[in-house]
Amino acid sequence: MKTYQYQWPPKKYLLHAQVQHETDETDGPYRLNIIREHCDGTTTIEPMEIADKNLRFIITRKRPEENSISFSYSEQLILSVYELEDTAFYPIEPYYCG
Amino acid sequence: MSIKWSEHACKYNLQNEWNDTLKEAYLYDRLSTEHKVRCRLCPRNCVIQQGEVGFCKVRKNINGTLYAQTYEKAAHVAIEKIETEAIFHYEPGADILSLGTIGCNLNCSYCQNWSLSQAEYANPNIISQRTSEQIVNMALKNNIKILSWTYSEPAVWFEFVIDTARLARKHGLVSLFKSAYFLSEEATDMIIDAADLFAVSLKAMDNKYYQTHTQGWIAPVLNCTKKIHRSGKPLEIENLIVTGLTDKDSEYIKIIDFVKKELDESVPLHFSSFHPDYKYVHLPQADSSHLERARAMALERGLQYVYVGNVFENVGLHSYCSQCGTMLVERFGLNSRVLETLDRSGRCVKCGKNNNIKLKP
Ligand code: SF4
Repeated sequence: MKTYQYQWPPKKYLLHAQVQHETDETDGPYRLNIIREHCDGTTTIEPMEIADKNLRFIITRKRPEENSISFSYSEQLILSVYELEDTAFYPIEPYYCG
Repeated sequence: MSIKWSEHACKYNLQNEWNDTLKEAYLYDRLSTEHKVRCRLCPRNCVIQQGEVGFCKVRKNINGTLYAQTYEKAAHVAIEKIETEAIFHYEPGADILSLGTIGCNLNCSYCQNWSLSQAEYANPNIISQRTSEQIVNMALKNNIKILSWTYSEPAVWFEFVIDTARLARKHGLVSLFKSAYFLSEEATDMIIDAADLFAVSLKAMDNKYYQTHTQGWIAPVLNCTKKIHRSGKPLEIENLIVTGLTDKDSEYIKIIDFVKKELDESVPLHFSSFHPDYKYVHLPQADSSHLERARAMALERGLQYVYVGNVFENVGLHSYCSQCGTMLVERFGLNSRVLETLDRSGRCVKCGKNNNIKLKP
């Protein structure tokens, strides 16, 4: 599994995450876990199954104590993370890709 | 991360390359002279010469026929929350499938999506071919019940929106149309018929403002908004507060009075904060104190549901009973938590008032 951790900067609440299968031949669904990490050390895990070859979705910080978010995902997936500055904004330059 | 606009920003000029004859436009006239056409989709009524495009750059005259160049061409596809669209009274917390294309029939100087809305800047790599069936299937596969036509102006892929919304309805999906509503009367009638809920981006109440900062004009926007309201379908209004331009009490009052007098005091109104982009990077982001002031004035003047937007931790994000003030829906970020104070029919449990909030089934 690959992993990527994003620390929420102050006053940031939204991300777009995009997952793409590395090849067109998909024998998915593939797994992606979103792990929310809180300042008291607790975590919550949201498992997702990615059936689409290319899926983009919004992630919103869920509460003030949530200080980072980690992605744990299948080797066959490529994750792109985009910072959203505005709800009407659709960024095209990823903050992270890997 | 946003790309910075400058006079030298890369132009791809897709409008010159595209010559698609897949979909003839629904609303236009053939003129008798030299293969010219007149588009009737928006109030500009562009008269377009053979081989040319209209102001929006995505509707092209090919041999005397007007073609929608963006048909089945998506530039944005994302699963989001309904709150993203400044819709707070329809299924709080619902997932939506947000869809957008390139092109716009306005040119707002502060557009956050200028590299897509202003079609000459759109990079061809971001465009993917999607049929109506594929979009409906994607929604169904991801258990999404709401298609949201949004981002840069959805009116410019009108034919695709109409066709997909009709197909979606057959599969039990609903369509949300988020637009600046700079549309002709006949386009408005068609969209009211095809879509199910409406988010109006009302830039200001001043014609000069529209002319200077959006290159449009206001009368058609107000007409469309009133027409949607008369249709009885769910409608919410969003006003972007732009620093130094619309962050004035006199501007707030004009919007508030329009909603109260021309629509209804129960129509939700959102005051959202602009962030600097496109040609307006010299202006700072609108401070939340302006949003809060506008909200307080609207509540004082009798509007029942007033929200702040583009801020993510604020008391003005929650929904309250308009009669007794009890909190009904709590929001943080774009998360909504429906409280036990709201019953399934949208009534406040404490006082019984119907607050017109439709909950997820
Ligand atoms: S939709 Fe485009 S082509 Fe048609 S009138 Fe408006 S700007 Fe002109």
